[in-house]
Amino acid sequence: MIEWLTATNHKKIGILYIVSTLAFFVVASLLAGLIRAQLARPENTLLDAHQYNQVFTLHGTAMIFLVIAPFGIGLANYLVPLQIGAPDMAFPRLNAIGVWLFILGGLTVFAGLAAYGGAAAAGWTAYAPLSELTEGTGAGQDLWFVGLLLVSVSTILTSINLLVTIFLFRAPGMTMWRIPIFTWEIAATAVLVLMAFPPLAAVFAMVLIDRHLGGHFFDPAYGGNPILYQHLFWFFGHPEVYVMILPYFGIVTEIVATFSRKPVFGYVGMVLSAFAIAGLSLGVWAHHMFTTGAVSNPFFAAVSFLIAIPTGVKFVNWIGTMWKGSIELSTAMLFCIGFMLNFLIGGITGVMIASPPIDYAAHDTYFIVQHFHYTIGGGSMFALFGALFFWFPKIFGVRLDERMGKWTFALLFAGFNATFLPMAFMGLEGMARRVYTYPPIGHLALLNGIASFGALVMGVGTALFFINVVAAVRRRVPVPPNPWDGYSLEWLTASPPPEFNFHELPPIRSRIPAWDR
Amino acid sequence: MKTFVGLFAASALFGIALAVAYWFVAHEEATGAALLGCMAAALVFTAGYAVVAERSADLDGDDPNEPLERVAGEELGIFTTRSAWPILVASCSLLTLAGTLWSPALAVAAGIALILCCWRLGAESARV
Amino acid sequence: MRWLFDPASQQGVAMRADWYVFVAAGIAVGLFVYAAIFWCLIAYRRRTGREPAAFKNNPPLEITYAAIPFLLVLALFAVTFAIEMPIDEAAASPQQRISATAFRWSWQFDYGGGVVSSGTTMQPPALYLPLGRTTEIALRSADVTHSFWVPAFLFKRDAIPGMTNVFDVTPRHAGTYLSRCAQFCGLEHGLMTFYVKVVPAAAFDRYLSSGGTQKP
Ligand SMILES: [Cu+2]
Ligand SMILES: [Cu+2]
Repeated sequence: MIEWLTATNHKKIGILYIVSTLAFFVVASLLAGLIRAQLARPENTLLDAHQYNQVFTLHGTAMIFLVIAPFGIGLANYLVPLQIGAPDMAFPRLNAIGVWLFILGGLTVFAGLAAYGGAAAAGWTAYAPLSELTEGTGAGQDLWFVGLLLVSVSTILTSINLLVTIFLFRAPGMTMWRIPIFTWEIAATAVLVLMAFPPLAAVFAMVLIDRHLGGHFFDPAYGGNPILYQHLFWFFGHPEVYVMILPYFGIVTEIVATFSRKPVFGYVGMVLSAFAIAGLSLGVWAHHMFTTGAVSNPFFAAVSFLIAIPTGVKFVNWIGTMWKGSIELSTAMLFCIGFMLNFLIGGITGVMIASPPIDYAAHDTYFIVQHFHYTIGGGSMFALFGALFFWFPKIFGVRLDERMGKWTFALLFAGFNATFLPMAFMGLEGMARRVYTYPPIGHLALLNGIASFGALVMGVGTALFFINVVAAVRRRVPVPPNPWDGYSLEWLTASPPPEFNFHELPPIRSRIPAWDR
Repeated sequence: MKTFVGLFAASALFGIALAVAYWFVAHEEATGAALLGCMAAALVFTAGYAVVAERSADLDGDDPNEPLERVAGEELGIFTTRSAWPILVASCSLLTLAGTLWSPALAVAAGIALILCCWRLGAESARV
Repeated sequence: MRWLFDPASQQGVAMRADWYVFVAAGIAVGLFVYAAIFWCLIAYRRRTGREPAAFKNNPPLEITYAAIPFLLVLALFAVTFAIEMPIDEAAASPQQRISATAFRWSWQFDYGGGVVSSGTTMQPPALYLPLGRTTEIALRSADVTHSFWVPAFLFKRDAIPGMTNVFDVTPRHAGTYLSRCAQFCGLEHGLMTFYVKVVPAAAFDRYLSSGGTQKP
């Protein structure tokens, strides 16, 4: 216990991130189950309005701030030093501060459940002035802001650490143009975090000043402006979307290349597209504000459309990597195929809603819920499972069962599409986001019924995954250093690696050191 | 070629271009222009740091044929494996923040503890 | 769903074209990429005795596949811009003006001349609109941010405290359309509905001249 509380080694900290994000994932998934149970039938009374508002707020907050984003950063913590041949991260103590700020911040958000008046209930976006009202949401909303303020500071610290590590701690021969794509995507993510998270910390601090110290930043009666909150929040919020996707692009790239037995196609294109996406994503924030009538819609529509180009480059390069390869459909590979199939739908609907005339109908409806779940759920979450199956043997020294894994994939893929595809049509039928009840009009009852059944299937798939983990850990069958015939440096050391990663550093003369042997 | 210097220089140029473009396309809108301006300034600052760091650093990784004599691990410096201060720094940060909202006494006490912990952490990291 | 094919306002008809263009382009691109992925999975499955190729890049091909989306995106932006501009432009002299105020958790509609109607979550108010007349709606909020959404018009606009949002709507089908607040605004956001009732212009005028007593 003390050993874990005081650990500074990047692998221990990486495991702390992975375990805590998976724990938050279980909680957030159960909350999703509650949402789908409530919406399974029209005019359902399983949850009342206040309970439902807390449930969807905590579900969104946890999945975004406590699962998808920190898992990518946590996995980077574990893998980046291994992939570039470094013994540890540049600042091990800073790294430990980061993980504890993250875990304490996440627990603080959930501590709101015990507060008088319940947990935060203003949505993961917490728009002011709604989030500044005290009735109904008292200390719970404060704890939400305090917790996420700690999480954002943690993310900034870890990003600095990752950048310095990537720039200055590479092993002899590991030039920048040889580091694996996953590490490159993490570098782009870290730059993005440094640009986008300070406004978030600022806006949360402003809300806390308003709530406790008599400020009026967002109150028009005192010369404040609610639009200011939206600007600051989305200046962070859109880049956050890419903080939740770039690491997973990297994961997919590594897994696809490994199981196609081919080096990554278009390495330079992959790197440039990662930075192009990061750069462009800093100039699109107000596409979340098209319906406010307070922003330049054409500017933000144009820059948003441009992101489709580097994203398209990634798809071309993944297909180019598989082209004429020797593809093995392992569980990890299946999850990456699922990522591509789902993410493509999320990307295409994303270009649609970047067009303001379409967004005027789609904004704040279930069409949007469908869109972002296809990118972050069908995309990032599938890559997350792919990463777990791929790197589990390296990290924990035991392998997950492939047959059970393929069942997990099948259940999650079928369940995911059954849950979220109907939502595109719910939006067009007039169902708004964040409603705790809806009337039995149009096809809403049928569509919601299908979605809730799909969620049940996803629940079974997720449970199967955790059974798989427990079984693998109890079986304790040791694995060789390179069970998948991977090409990057981490596969050239023991599973799990020794304390300082490599007893003897292998020669690095290309982008595929493990295949050079 | 020091790739990361080029990378930051390019991002800084892009940030400036984006801020200028925004200013002309949506010039009545001051909030976004200010945000993009700050972002561009931050990118210029990091690019400047990258230039300075590149001059002073002697990187093993940047030579494609670097010999392996300087093996990583212990050679790169000794890394600490455990420290009690980080978790205390994180806990004190939480308590200081919570105290600021609900209890000035807690804020002062936790704030002092936070400074102490940071100081001890700094002293410890100077040794190992 | 049917509002997408047959919107109840003229602005909706213009925006429907945007939907059609983007859905068509999206399906075309999606099928092309899906075909390429499934082709790889079928043709290049691992078989004994076949070695994977070793190529690592193909710059002309990569540039082509970056240029094609660029052109596509340019065309989509042109379509977006052409359709959006007239919708965002409110007419200088509308035939009718109505002011709508959102509050937690219902709406108040002010037609001028003392004709005001308001509702509750249990008794959603009705917004009467004259068929075929371009009506300017001035949108305000009394407390937090709300959003005025009429699914049948394929349109919504936010009601933000401290500012007035103005837009035009020209109804083209008479009827009653369930509408609602789209932006989360707290406890009873889910019940913050209203009815848009598009009525013949004569009936609408009678409603106003009777001081709101003769409901159409
Ligand atoms: Cu966005
Ligand atoms: Cu609302």
